[in-house]
Parts: sequence; structure tokens; C-alpha cells
Amino acid sequence: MQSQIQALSHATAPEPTKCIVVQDLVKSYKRGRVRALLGLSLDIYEGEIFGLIGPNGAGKSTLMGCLLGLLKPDSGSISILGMPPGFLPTRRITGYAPERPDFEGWMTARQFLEYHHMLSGRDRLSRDQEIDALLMRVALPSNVWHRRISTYSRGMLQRLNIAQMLLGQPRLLLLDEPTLGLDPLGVVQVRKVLMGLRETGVTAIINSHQLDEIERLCDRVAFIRDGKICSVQHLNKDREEEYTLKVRWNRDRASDNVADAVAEAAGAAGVCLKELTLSSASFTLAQESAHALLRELISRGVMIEEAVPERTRLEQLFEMGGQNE
Amino acid sequence: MNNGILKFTLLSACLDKIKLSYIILLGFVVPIGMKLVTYMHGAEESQTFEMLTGKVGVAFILTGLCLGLAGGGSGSQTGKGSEYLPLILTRPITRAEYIITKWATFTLVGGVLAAVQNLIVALIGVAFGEVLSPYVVAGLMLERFLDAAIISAALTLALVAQHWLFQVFAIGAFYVWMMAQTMPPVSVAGPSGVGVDAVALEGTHLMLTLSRLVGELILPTISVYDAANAPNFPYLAIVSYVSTIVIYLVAAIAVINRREFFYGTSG
Repeated sequence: MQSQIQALSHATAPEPTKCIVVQDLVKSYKRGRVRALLGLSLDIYEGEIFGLIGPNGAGKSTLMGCLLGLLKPDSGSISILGMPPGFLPTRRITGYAPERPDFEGWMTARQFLEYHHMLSGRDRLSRDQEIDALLMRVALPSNVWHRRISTYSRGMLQRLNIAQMLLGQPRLLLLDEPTLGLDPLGVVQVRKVLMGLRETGVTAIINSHQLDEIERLCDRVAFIRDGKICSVQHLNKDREEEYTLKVRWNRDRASDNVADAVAEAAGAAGVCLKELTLSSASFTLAQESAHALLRELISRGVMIEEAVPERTRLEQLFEMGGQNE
Repeated sequence: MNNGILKFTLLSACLDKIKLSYIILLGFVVPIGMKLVTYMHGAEESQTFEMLTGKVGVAFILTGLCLGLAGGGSGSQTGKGSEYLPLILTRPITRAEYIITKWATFTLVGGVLAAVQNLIVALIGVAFGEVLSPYVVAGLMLERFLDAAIISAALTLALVAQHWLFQVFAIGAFYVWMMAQTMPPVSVAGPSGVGVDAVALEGTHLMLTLSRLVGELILPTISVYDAANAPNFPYLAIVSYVSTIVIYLVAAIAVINRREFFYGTSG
């Protein structure tokens, strides 16, 4: 009976709707001499926060440019909710936050948003209300709303950048380095905004080198290198997978048989000991094994000073050039 | 036409300190000062004054207004506080709408400023006893609007078409046109010389003729007073003027439609 229910639920489970379908995208510059995208294909689902990572010159910005309709691919296709990029109805549902917000310096934040509100063809009656709400949402202090943009700090500009992106309640967001230049509070604010948008079903693509942010925000991440997608990682799912934990102890206070104690603790906790020195050890382990490992080490008299993940999964992915283990 | 672009281009002309200072200085302070000096100290009206109150003055005002449209180049994100085109073009407006609205706004602002300047200069003249009929003054003011329309169409094209060959051609053509506008008639007047003088004189004649031809080709303008007093309706001049504006605008739209905006790192 239970298997029948499971089979039925599998049969009726709705397929996630694709928001963006990129197929065999090829883009080159300088009459084909610089090849930026080499047959890139990608599906991004509605409501997903999707990260793009990769080394400089990998083709991430070119892909963003193609998605925005600012660049024309040599071949291949892009569909955004069934429409081509750059098409006016597509632009109505798209919000874009450029990496460097060098906006018109003579304007105030309110004027800037008013300008973009008008460009978006939004209802004039809701303008003031919508602009105030957005400025508050990105926590831009109200005492600078009427100040010239040229006097803004990088953090203020970035908040304004996020606010203009959200104008018109877009269904698709394209963000280039959204937390670059922000103070920790600003980073938290942007994160909150994006997490809030996730609940409303907005799809977002984040192009960033800030791997920890990508890891915190994104559902999936694509590693792009040499104009191609090397791998796509499901980050939430991956959280259950293995990572490296580096444990350090006080060398002076460690007993002579610390090496044996560490090896025994690793065995008892069921984790793999990767590297061992006189004052530290690296273990490969699953998230849930960390507690058991530390307990075993302490019980064997290892005077632990710190235990830190050696690097994030995305850093590891980056180091491996986007190849899965 | 897009109201947002219209409103904020107008505001940019009024609130951007650099643009404002440039326009006030070249458009008003210098020519009005020159006119006052002419009457108060008996100095003759200079060629510079003629320039600044005519087509060249309109070109100077429009160049100031257009500063900023050049921002947001396709090669890099070098907005530096000016208009950042890639972001604007991700909004639901057509690129044709952008070009037409910019052109119309530049024409409106440039035309109004130049017409007001001509009016002030004429009023100063009248105050010092110059005899000017309202008909002539109205003709001058309309002429400045017509100048503004064609010069802003040419500038709009020059600002969006960033191919280096076109830029070289545009700058060259602008200087040749300026030469035609600024070369004083006295340069080629007087009796013919001999030897080196004759060569120099003929060279100047040739340069002037050529620059006038180029000027008429790239920026054909209509003299309202002459057109109104001509025995026949000046169809040819009007067709030439209108078709040139249309060519510039269509070319600007075609260029911006083809243009790509890459904002990432180069290479």
C-alpha cells in the first residue's frame, strides 16, 4: 500500500518549471578571435537562486550580458519564461544589479529611483510609495535619500543598486557581485532581501567571486570555465556531503602519543584522517561526524585549540577547476 | 517618446554643475558680455561673437548637454557618474525610443537656450539703439531651433557610434564645418597677390569652398530670413535639411540596435 502511495506521489509530483533555458550558447568577440562561450547549456528553475562561479574570463559576465539582451550570441538560444532575452516583456520582469554602480552622480537616490521607475513604465500613482518602501527595504538611511549620489559611499551605492533592481517587482533577478564593497551589516541586509525574495518565488542568478555568499544563498551553483559549464552543484543537498576539518592542538602540552590518540579517535568516530603533523590534523568527514570526532579527540586527552573547516566546498570546487570528485 | 528620459535629461542639464557652468559660460556670459562691450566701449562685434550667437554657439551648448550620453561605453563600465547606458537599456524601453527622446530633448533644451540667448542679445542691441524688427528676431530664434535639431541629431549619432573610423570622420567633419563657420570673410578679400601670396590666397579660397561644401553636406541649415524672403519656396533646402536629420536618427537607431554592451572584464 505504502509503495503504491509512493509510486503515485512520484507520478503526480509537479515538474519544476524552467525559468531560463540556455542551449548551446556560443559567443565570441573580435570577429571570433576571443571565444567567450563555447556551446554553454543550462536550465534554471523558477524560484531558484542560482550561482555562477569561475575564474576571471571564464564567460560568466558574457552569459549575464546575453541573458540581459545586452550581448547577442553568435549561435544557440536563450529562453526566459518562454520569451527571448531583450524582448520588452522579458525586460519588464527582469531586475539587474550591475557590479559597479557608477550611477548619475548629480541625482539623489530618490530621483534615481524615480527615473528608473519611469523607465520601467510603472504606475505613477504608486511611485513615491514604492520608492520609499524599496529604500527602507535595503536599509539606506533616510537622511541620505535626498543627497547627491556622487557623495555616496560604496556601501550606499550598492544598497541603491539593489533597490533599483527590485523596482517593478521583477520575477527574475540578475546580480553581479551583490555584496561587493558592503559592510557586514550590508551583506546581511542583501542576504535577507534575497532570502525574502526566494519565498515569493523570484528566480535569481548571482555572479560572484564571494564563494561563501554563493554557498549561503544559492540552491545550485554552476562552475564556468573556458566558456563552458564544468559542473553544476546542488548546494543544499551537498551540505550532507563530506568536507575537510582541520583540528589544531597545543604542541607543548600534547602528550608523546598524540599521533596514536588522533588516529584512534578518527577510527572511533568513523572519519578519514587525511594529514597529521605534530600540532594539527586534517580529517575528511560528513557534517554530522564532526561532533563525534571532537568528542573522541577530547576523551583521548588531545588539548584542542581550534577546529575549523579547512575551506568551503565551493573553494574546493574552485581549486579542482570545477571538476567533481 | 519616453517621459522619464525627457524629464531627467532636462534635469541633468539644470542640475549637473559641470554642464550648467559650461552652458552658462559659453552660451550666455561670453556672448552677452561681448555684446555689452561692443556697445559700452565702442568695440566692433568680433567674429567670435558671431560664432557664439549662431550655429557654432548652438553646437557648443549641445556639446555640453550631450556630455554624459557618452558614458556607459560598450568597452567598460566607465560611467563615472554619467548616464550608464547598459542599465537603462535593460528597462522596458526600445532603443529607438531612447534615441528619439534624447534627440528631442537636446533639440528642445539647445533650441530654447540658443533662442533665449539670441533674444537677450537682440534686446541689448535694441536697448542701445539698434533697429531690429520682431520679424527678424523671431526668424533668428526659429533658426536656432532648426540648428539645434540637426546638430543634436548629428551629435546623437556621433555619441552612440563608437567605431574609431567613424569617430575620426566625425571629428574631422566637425572641424571642417567649424572652419567654414569661423573663417572671417576678410581672409579671402582684397586684391589677388603674386607668388607665395597668390598660392596662399588660392589655398584659403579652396579650403573655404571645401569646408562650406562639407558643412552644407553634413549640417545643411535653413536661413529662415532668406527662406521667407525668397521668391520661390525653398523646397530643396528643406528636403536636404529634413532628410539629413532623418538619416542621422535612423543611423543612430541602427547603430544602437546593433551595439553590444559588454560590462565584464576584457579578454
